[in-house]
Parts: sequence; structure tokens; C-alpha cells
Amino acid sequence: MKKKVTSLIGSLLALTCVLSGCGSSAASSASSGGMSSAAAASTSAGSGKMDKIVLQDKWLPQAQFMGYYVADKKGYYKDENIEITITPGSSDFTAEDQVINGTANFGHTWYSSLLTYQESGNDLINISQIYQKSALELITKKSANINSGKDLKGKKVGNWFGGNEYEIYALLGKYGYNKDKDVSLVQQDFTMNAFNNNEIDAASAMTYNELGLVIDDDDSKMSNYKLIDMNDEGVAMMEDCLCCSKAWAASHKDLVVRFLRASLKGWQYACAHPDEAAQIVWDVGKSVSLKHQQFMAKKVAETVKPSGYSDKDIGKLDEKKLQQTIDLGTKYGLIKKAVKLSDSIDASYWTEATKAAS
Amino acid sequence: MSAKAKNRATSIGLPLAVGVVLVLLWQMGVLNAAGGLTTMQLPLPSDISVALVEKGTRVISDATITLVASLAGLFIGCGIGYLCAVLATMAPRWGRGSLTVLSALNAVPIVALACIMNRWFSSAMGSKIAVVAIVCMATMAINAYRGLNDLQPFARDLLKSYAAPRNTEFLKLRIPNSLPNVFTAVKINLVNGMMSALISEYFSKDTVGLGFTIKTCMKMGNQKATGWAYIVVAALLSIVLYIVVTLVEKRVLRWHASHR
Amino acid sequence: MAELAKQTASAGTNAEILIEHIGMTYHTDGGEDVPALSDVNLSVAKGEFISLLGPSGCGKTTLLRIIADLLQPTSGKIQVAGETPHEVRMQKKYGIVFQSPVLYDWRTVRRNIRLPLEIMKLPKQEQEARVNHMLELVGLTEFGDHYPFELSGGMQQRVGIARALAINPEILLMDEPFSALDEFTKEKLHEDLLRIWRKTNKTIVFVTHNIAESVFLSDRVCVLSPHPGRLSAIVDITLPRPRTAEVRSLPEFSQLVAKIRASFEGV
Repeated sequence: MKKKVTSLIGSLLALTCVLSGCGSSAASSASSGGMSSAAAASTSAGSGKMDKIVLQDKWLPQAQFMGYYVADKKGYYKDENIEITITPGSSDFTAEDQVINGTANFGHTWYSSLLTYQESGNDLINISQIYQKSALELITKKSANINSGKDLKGKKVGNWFGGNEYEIYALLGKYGYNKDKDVSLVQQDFTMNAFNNNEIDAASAMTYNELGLVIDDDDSKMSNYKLIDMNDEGVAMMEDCLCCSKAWAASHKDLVVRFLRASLKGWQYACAHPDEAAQIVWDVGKSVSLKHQQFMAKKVAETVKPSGYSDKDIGKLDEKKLQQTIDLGTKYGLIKKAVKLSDSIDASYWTEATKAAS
Repeated sequence: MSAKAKNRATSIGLPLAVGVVLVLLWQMGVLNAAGGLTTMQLPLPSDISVALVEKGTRVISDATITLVASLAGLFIGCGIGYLCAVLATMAPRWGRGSLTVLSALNAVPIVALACIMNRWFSSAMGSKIAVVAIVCMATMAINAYRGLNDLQPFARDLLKSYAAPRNTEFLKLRIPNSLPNVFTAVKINLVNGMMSALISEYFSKDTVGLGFTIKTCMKMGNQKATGWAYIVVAALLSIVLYIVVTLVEKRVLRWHASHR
Repeated sequence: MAELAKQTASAGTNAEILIEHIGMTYHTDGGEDVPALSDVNLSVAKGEFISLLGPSGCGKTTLLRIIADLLQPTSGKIQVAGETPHEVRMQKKYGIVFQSPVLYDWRTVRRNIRLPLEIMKLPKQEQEARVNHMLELVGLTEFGDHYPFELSGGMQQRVGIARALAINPEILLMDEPFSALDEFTKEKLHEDLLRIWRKTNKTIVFVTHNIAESVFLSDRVCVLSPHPGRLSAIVDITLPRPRTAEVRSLPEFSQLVAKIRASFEGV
């Protein structure tokens, strides 16, 4: 009996560990130097010693994060006396988790996701909004004749969930649809198979990623499909941004500014040379093909530096767009009570970084 | 008898007491302090309880879906596994080897299984049940094969001396002989099956169930307590199922060495 | 040798079991032939209690299994009640008791004894009647609803005997049935077995490696010697019946044991 109870408890512990995502991947990255390098970060500029920092990406190495890889490759971080470690993301944990853990100094995450961490009292701030518009689209087959969110009623709508679903909720809400009754929501996996097999009428797709999977990274094939753009629908929520601990940033102001300056320079170069940026990312990690990296790089460049934006606008914190994210997030249940924008972002580092650059 | 009752009281009471103390320490923040965890990383029992209550009846419907998936998968997987063991016993020449091959299925990660099943089954529930069934199949097949074939010496000779037909050998000897192994496999599969059902929901097409909610909540900073609440529900379900099977086993296997 | 030939034929044509020139060779995986029995001739009369005695490797169990049709001999002929062992097995005309009780753990004593009756598809009522009778015969009436694990080794083997007799066979084959039991239990069971034999009039073939056991129980003791297994002597046991514990202290008993032991030393 004793033996049985022990084995039962053992299996339950294992179950709990797996489910809570405190799996070995997080633990091992923490012990393999991530923690120590993050802890070692200090503003020792001038002493000749490099500042070690860790940046946690949201996902695997791909052009979505090309600015940092370019900055690293081109020596922009070195120029700022920074030795950077860029850690790939995983489905087991979020970038915010890693920053809170102390495993990483900076996290590249979605602003909408960051809001949920801020709501629960974590000391995290958005220091630079890298993506200036939403890159989430709903893709439909032309034959389905879905022209806007209005036509989604009764359709199967796909998303990855886990915090990515709120722009869809906002879109449905805009047309007065009940997300649980008027449409049937479907969880998408990392492929677009379900959409290609007609199991989903309107699938979520990032312009720079899943869209390319559907059209084979070939924009000319777009004629078979239609897109619902969250920006056009007025329900855009801000995505990729840089976050870090507010307290840590305050005590490492110079380091944060230098990191930001180098990173923005990397993004500027990447947006101007997407093919080269794609190659640089591809050299780091081959999670997707070079062709897809190039497709992604071009699309990401359009999101980081939309038409009408100059290099100096890259990474700026556009309060109107960010406030809209908070408003929609509050309205559609991403967060329960509105986060104050002034508590959520701190533009001073970006201002300082761009001032010095000019 | 009183010694037995006392024994039972300690065997139930002691783990229960340990559990209660653990929860108390957890609530008092001792676990968080010891692990260097914020209450977001490991929410307190009170936060988890509040999150559970806030979810209301949704918890019950989510739990029901996962329970149905894991029990149906368990039932089907164990059934197929047992059938494989019977077939392997009937054709021992290739049977044993085939079972070894079957057990290789257990090495396939659920992530991969779930994706394949999502393609094969149009219904999300069907795909979850298939994942659980596959996970349960090999464990049952190998355990049952052992039970069907590890016979005491002369047990078959005895039936042969009565000129008993082959089906009698199965019905009166091999199948009852395999029951203890069947229960072992069911208990292993109960926990594995629940886990597989939860993980398959990470990749499922539908947006319901304990696993889906755990995955979703764990990715959002303000919903981790809800995620933990669902983990607690999943763990409780596993414990209850395990206890039920253990009680049934005690009744059915009164004659077995483990229950003397 | 001439004497042996005469003895083997003594049961004549009325023999219940007639064994002629039986030979048995095992083929090992390595391709070797291992002779287990060579040219065994034996005749067992109806109602006789005969022992097959010998050290391990003498082929006594092999011979018993050949009679039971659980093994096929490589040469020779065997007749049981005028039929082949296979026919006898198919008609369930013998009961067998093994070295271990071979009780099915999941069946109560009563249901273990009933097992062969279920296979024979006897009417439920007759099954019950026979089981009750058998429980009485082996003195386990009060233990009918117990599971095997609740019984002592001696009681378990008594259930084994009851089960073998439940089908009311003409022949009872016993393969070292008491070898795992302690001396006291064994002696008690010897007397029980003789009592049951007297009551039921079965022909019993009893395999053992225990000289005293074979002398105490048998009408005749067939001595087998190993390498290859063959019948080396047949000893008539002239002790009076019914035999009780006192028989063991008779000088004739010791003389017979000594005589049989001596027959091994010549080998």
C-alpha cells in the first residue's frame, strides 16, 4: 500500500510538472549559464569588460527577431560594449516568464501578452514597440466569399490561443457576434493543414509566417485567398515589443539604452536589407527554409517600418495604438481591469537611445 | 482485525496528513520561499481556489470532456491491447516479436501522435481518444501477454489431461490468470491516459477541455492561477479514478497474493 | 533378467496398463539425442497400486506422462484399458496429480474440484453432488469456500487429489505428489491416500524418489535406473493391508527398503 501511494504521488508530481510547463527545458536553460549571465549584467562600461546580457525571443530563431541577430552579426552590440546571448523561445514558457525568472534580461514578446503579466503585478515594462501594427490576419479561401469580419457568422475560425485569440474576439465583438455561439472557434496547430484541408474557414495567419506557408512564400498566389486585416478592421492589438524589469532597467539605465540603440540599429539595417538579414538568421537556426526566412524578413520589415515611417520611428511607443490594445484587451477579457498606459510603458529609454543616435 | 483497521487508518491517514500539511505550508508561502517562486509562478492555494470558483460550471464541462476522452481512450486502448496479447498468445511464434514492435509506439511523443491523429480524425474528441488509446495499448498488451502466459507449472497439462479444448484454456485458465496484470496495466494507463488526454488537448482542434485551458492559461500572466486550478482538478480526477480502480481490484482479486 | 520378464508379464492379458518396449529420446536444440527411456516393459493390473521409483533423470516422470498422453514415446506400444493413451485421455478415464497442487488461485476449493466437471459439461446438480462427495472423501468439507492461499500445502494437495478423482476415472496417475510436503503431513497423506484407494478401487501409478514412500504405499515397486532410463527391477511388496503407521516399524518394511536400496547400488 505504501509503495502504491508513493508511486501515485510520484506520477502526480510528474503530471503536475509537465502540465505547469516547468519542464526540463526551462530548468536546463536556467542552469546552463542563462541565470548567471543575466545576474552578471552590469553597467561597467569603460572598465573594458563587456556587459553580458540575455535576450529571450518569443519563438525559434527566425526573421521575426532579425534585428537582434543582425545587430549581433554586424557587431553593433560589441560597439556598445555588450556581449549578447539570444535565447530561442519554446512553447513551454513565455519570454516574460524568463525575464521574471532572471533567466533573461530582455524579452521579445507581444504587448498584449505583456499586459497579462503586468495585470498580475509583475514588474515588467514595454521599453520599445518593435512592430508598429498588427501582423495577424484571418486568411480565407476566395471561394468562401468572406470579405470582412461581418461574414464570419457561422464559420469555423481558427487561432492558436494562449493569448493570441483576443484580436479575433475583438473582431467578432465589433460585429456584435458572440464568440461562443455565432462562430465555432478551432485551435490551430503549428501547420496550416487544417485550413488547407478545409477544416477551418478562416484561419489565423501572421503575415510574415503562416501566410507564407499557405501561398508558398509567393505573393502571386494570393489571388486564391482573401485576408481580413486587424489594422483595417480597427481591432489591431500591438504585438512584438521589448520588455524588461522596470526596477532592473532603472538601475541599469545606461546598459538598457545601449542595448536598445544597438538593437534598433540592427532593425534599421534588417529592414533595409531583408534578404541579408534572412541569411544571417538562417545561419543561426534552420527551423524554417531560407526562402521562408526571406519571405518573413520582407513582411516583418513592412511591420517594423510600415510605409510612411522613417528609420527614426523604428521601435517607438505609439501611445494611441498601445492604448487601443489596453482598451480592447480590457473589453474582450484579456485583462480584467485596465492597466494604466503610463505604468505599462517607459519611452525614456527609447528616447534616449534614438537621441544619441541622431 | 483492529490491527488491520489501524493499519488501514495509517495508510490512508498518513498520506492525507502529509498532504494537508503540505497545502498549509504552501498557503503560508513556505513553498514559494523555498523554491524562490513568485505567487504568479506558483499561485497560492487560496488564489487557485478563487480561480476555480470564478470558472464556475465551465470547470465541470471541461473536466467532463477530458474525462470522457481519457476514459474512452483507456477503454479502447486497453481492449485493443488485450486483444493483441490474446492474438500473440495464440500465435507465439510471431506474437512476442510483434508485441515488442507494438511497444515501440510508446516511444512516439504525444506531440507527434496528436498531430497525426488530428489529420486522421475530423472530430477533436476522436483524435484525443485515439491518442490515449495508442498510449494505453502497448502497456496493456505487454502486461496482459505476461498474464496470459506466465502460468504455474502443469496448469496447462492439467487441462490437457481433461482433453479441454483451446477456448477452455483461455476462458478458464489464461484469462483469469491475466487479471492481476490487467489491473496493473489499467492503473498505469489511468495516469498515463489522463496525461495523454491533457497533452493531446494542447494540440487539439477544439477549444475546450482541461488540457486546452491549462495550456492557454499558463501562457498568460494573469491566468496562471486558473491554469493551476485546472491542474489540481486533473490531479484530483486521476486520484479518484485510481482509488476507484484499486477498490474494484481489491474486490475482484481477493484471491491474489497482493491482497492477502 | 528372466525373473523381470516374468514379472512384467505377470498381469497377463487382464492388464489395465500394458507397456511394451517403450523408448523415449529427447532432441535437444543442439541436435543431440538424449535417451530418456529405453525398452520399458510393464504391465499394471486393474486396481493395483504401483510405484515408479528412481533417482532424478531415470525417466519415471517421462513414463508417467507417456501413460497420460502428455508425451508421445519415440518407440514402443502402450495400451490403457485396451485403448491408446490418447483415447483414454479424450474419454477422461484417468485423473492426474502433479508435483504441485496446480490449483487455480482464483477458484475456491469447491470450484477447483468442479473444474473438470465443468469441462465435461455435467449437469449443475451432479457437479455439486460430486464436489460435495469429494470434499467429504478428502476431509475438506468445511473448506469448500476457501481460496487456495488460505490452505496449507497438505490441504492443497488433497484438493488436487479430490479434483483428480472427481471425474471418477479408472486410473489415478500421481507424479511425486507429496515431495514438497513435510514428513508429518506426508505420512498423514499416505494413510489418507490408501484409505481413498481402498474405497474407490482405482488403479494407481505413483511416481516417487522416496523408497520408504513407495514401499509403504505400493503393491509393487518398479525400480528405474538412469542413463538411459530403464526398468531395472520390480519388487513385490508383501506387507499386509490395510497398512497403518505401525507398518513402518515392521522388520519386513526395513528389509524391503534395504533390498530396493541395494538394487540401486548395483547400477
